Amino acid sequence: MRAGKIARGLAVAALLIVAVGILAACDTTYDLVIENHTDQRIAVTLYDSLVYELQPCSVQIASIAGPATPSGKGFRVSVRGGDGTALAQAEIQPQRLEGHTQPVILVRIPQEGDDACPASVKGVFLLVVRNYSQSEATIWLGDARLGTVAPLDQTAFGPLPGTWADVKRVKILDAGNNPISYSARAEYNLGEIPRFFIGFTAPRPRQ
Amino acid sequence: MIATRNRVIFRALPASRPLVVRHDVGASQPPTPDPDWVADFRATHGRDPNEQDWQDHLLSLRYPGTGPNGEWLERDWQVYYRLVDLLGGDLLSQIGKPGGHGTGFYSGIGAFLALWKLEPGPDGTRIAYVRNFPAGGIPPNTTGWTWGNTILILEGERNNRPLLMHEYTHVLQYRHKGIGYVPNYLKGGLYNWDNNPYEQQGVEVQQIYEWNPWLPPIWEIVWVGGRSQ
Ligand SMILES: [Zn+2]
Repeated sequence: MRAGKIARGLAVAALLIVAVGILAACDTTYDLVIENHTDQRIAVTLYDSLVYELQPCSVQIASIAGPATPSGKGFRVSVRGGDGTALAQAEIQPQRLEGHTQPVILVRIPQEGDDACPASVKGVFLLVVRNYSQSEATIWLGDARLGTVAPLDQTAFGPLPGTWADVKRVKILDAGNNPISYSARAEYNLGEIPRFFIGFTAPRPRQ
Repeated sequence: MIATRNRVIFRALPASRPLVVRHDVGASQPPTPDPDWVADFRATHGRDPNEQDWQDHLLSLRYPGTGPNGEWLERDWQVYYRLVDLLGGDLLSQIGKPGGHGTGFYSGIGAFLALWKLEPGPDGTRIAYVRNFPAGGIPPNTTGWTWGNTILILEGERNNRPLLMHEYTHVLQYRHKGIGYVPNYLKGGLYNWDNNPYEQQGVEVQQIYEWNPWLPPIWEIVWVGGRSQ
């Protein structure tokens, strides 16, 4: 009798989930990859509010959240030149690309052809780790121990073989071997080894 | 952190009112505003600090900034205030509160989706690190899903700090709006994030943390009202 009530309660809850708007506050992570293959500065805007400014001949990669279920609607992206002139506006469909674990929103300026910049370096990267905490931290890439980063210091590891997807394999441990969560993004010039930046913090140890 | 918040020693004052120390706080002797800091603040800002300024200062002592010895530089304060302005008093005042019955209702749905495999999270939240349907509790391709005080995060995104800040922003939104949160969210547009203020707030918070890994977590902000200019 009691089990029946519980089952009915669960069924009602399941129905409520469907009825009340199943995908509210539901987020998918996309890799936003912006490649500026021109010799001018550009600013790329997404969601009318997120702005990414790029130097000439440079690349930025960031993780962004987006609607969970593909609605067929692309991501509206607008691009302005350094002088403020509108260069492009497009609805970009996310795509699966090698070297990324997440669907990629690829913004390439210009969209194709004419390239004023050196070719991208692929398959290798520098991992630049900035420790904003006041304790030493140990950096792992999968099962490989890369080394330590001193308090309030920065260390570049590599060049390492791999792609942006490998950033997900980074593990950071504090002095007590507790994992620390981190922020990651990439910024580098075309023709140079990609630089992936990772940063983390922790409260100061109590005096 | 809650314990720290319970020891808050100042009465909430409007921004224009000066910092006032309350002396009748019982046995545990609270920290008093540092006179050197008060003098420095006056010299820099040309006005007396208020209670929120003092709380922000205490936060800056607890988490290093980007200065050579971990001090907060002017640009760090600008980033911090951008975060504060983005969240606003409506959400910041929800830190440390559980939310009403509406939030509890949604938290229950989240716990159901997580099959009650929840770990204690920050500020009274509960977090489940899960897999996508059908093996786990979140839809295919999804990496984060918030229901009230319950946060579901894809196992592979466990270390993604900006994503957690995005989801925690949703927690504060639930606490603020209560049962009306989901209908309000749907009005904004489930897939049209360009017009969804809740997701606009979420993605902007996420971007701030991506660019500024040094920032203290949102739940460490002690909000007494009265944002400094
Ligand atoms: Zn969201």
